Amino acid sequence: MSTSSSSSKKIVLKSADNETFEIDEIVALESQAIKNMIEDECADNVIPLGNIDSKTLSKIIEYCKKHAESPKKDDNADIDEKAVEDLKSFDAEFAKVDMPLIQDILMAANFLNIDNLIGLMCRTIADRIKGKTPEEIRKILNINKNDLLSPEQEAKAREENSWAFD
Amino acid sequence: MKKQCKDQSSIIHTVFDCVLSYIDDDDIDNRNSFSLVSRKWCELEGLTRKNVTVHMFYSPTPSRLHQRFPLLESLTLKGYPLRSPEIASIDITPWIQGISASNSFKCLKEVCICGTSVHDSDLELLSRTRGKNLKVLKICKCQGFSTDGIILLLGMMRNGYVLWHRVSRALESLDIGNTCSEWDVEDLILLAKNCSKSLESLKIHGCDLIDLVDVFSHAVNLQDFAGGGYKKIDEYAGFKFPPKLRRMGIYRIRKSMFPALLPLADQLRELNLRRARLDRDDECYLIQRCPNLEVLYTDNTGHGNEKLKVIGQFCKKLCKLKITGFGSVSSTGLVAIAQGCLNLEYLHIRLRVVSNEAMECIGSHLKNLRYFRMTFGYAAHDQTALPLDDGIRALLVGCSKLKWLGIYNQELTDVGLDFIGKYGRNLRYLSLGYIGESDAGLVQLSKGCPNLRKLEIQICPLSKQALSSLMFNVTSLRYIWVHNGQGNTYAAMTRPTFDL
Repeated sequence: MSTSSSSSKKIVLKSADNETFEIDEIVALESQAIKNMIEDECADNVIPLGNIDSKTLSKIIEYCKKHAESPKKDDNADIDEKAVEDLKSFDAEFAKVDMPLIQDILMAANFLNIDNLIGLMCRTIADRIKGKTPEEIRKILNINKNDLLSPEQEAKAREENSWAFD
Repeated sequence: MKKQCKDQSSIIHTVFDCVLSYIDDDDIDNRNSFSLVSRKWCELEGLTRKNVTVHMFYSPTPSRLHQRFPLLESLTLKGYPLRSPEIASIDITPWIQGISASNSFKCLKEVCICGTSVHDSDLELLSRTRGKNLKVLKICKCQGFSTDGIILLLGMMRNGYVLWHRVSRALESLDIGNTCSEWDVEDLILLAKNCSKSLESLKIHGCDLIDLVDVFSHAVNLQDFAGGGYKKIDEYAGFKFPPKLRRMGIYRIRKSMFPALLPLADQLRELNLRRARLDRDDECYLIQRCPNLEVLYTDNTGHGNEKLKVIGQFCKKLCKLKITGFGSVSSTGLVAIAQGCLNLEYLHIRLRVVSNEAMECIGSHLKNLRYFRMTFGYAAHDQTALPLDDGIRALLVGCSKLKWLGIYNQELTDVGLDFIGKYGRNLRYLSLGYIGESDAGLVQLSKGCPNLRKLEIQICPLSKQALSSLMFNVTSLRYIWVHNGQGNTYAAMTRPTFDL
């Protein structure tokens, strides 16, 4: 079946907290996972997303809407620079959220297989932890205390980092 | 609750994998930080580290190295940073044995050994156990091996290429430029023939280019060549270099080689003219035709400023420039380079004099500079020269990525040393010669430079007390090397105790 001609078709997503979202199919196609479902004709009923809450899902839909509306690079070789700039500034604004939400979006984007969004979230995290100390990174990413190296292991690795291995 | 824990750990995993793709392989500072974040990150960082330099003097054991970085591809084993009598005191044999163990470092392709003693038996063991997988073996600033060892090495190469001839024809690099000066051109032709697809780098010594015609005709993928020169002056008509050559260093270039050289000029990324012995006009003519050069080594001979102007004007992509020799380069030349080659990361220059303005110019233009070394010729001491203190401050403030700084024989007072401490936050290596006035400068310096790892001091008016206080204050310091004019004092520091 053709996916590009059916832009008026609606897809319904249901979040973990049982909120439903009706979106245009063209928006849903930003997700490779949903695209596959549509192609396999498994998307006629509500699609339950048991591991994505409504807050995260609405952010993801906001992202997909914007990207679905923007001209794609392969559609038109010389898309105007303004559209590219517009999308860039949208992405920059979109990423200005707190770290727990970024991590939720990343996990959800990973599950839904939305490449651009995965990249955007990773770049955002990388930018926030680059040049930071281990303690700062732990705080930023809210690393569980049980996952830390033992004090002896940490001291050893720290010593090695500063003296033995480059 | 259980599910949440699982999510938490898998997200950390995903985050690490993804974030790592935005961090350079050799971005050690970030990698080091990551390795301490959590158990999982420590493990993941270790698994993804491809290149490691081991400071043998401070290192635990090869097995610990393997435990942390099991999938290592390239290993550099470093002894002392500078030549010293201590060189023999590091035993490399356990490391060679560690590398050679059959179940360790399965991905290792490159080994570089530097600044230590290497015995023939080490080379023998390495060639026997690793000859098959090793693509690159570099041994530099080492002692201890004999001609037998070199023959063994060549034997390994020979085994290597016979083996590779049968299996995969994979030898990529042969560098015996500094090790061996006599050898058979027929061997080289055979090597080039057997490894014609894979051979990318060839560095040799004591060979006439004209004898390499057959080698070059086989080595069609050669990108890197050093060696050669001329004996037979006018026989270069029709001579051809390998078509993909990108990096070259030829001894004694003649103008009669230009017809063979110039067609490649546009594709050259690296050029070493230090032993080329070209006259200035011919050299400038050649440099002008190499607009894509990223690395250039040349000599500072008479009228050096003119040459630097040409480099600044034509070599816009230059990242590394090294100019040695005794010429007349001054601020004019330095300014031409700073304004012209904005991508420079490495600058090593020998000057006659330099002004504060020229240093400021470097600070405001060369934002990517990581290595800067400035030495001076033995010109008559210029009584009118101003202290270079303000210049050094401007350089350090402007070039915030600077990690390696070396200054010798120029007017730098205690104020300048204070500036180095204050503004040298990122400095890793500092080398000072003939500068400062008293202990006060070094004391000020030691209040800063929090990341300094190596310090080299030559003939500066400093007391042992000042040096001790520096070692006490700059806790990151790994090595200090002091030359006081009455023989070398060499101190390698270990934690928690050290000796001077």
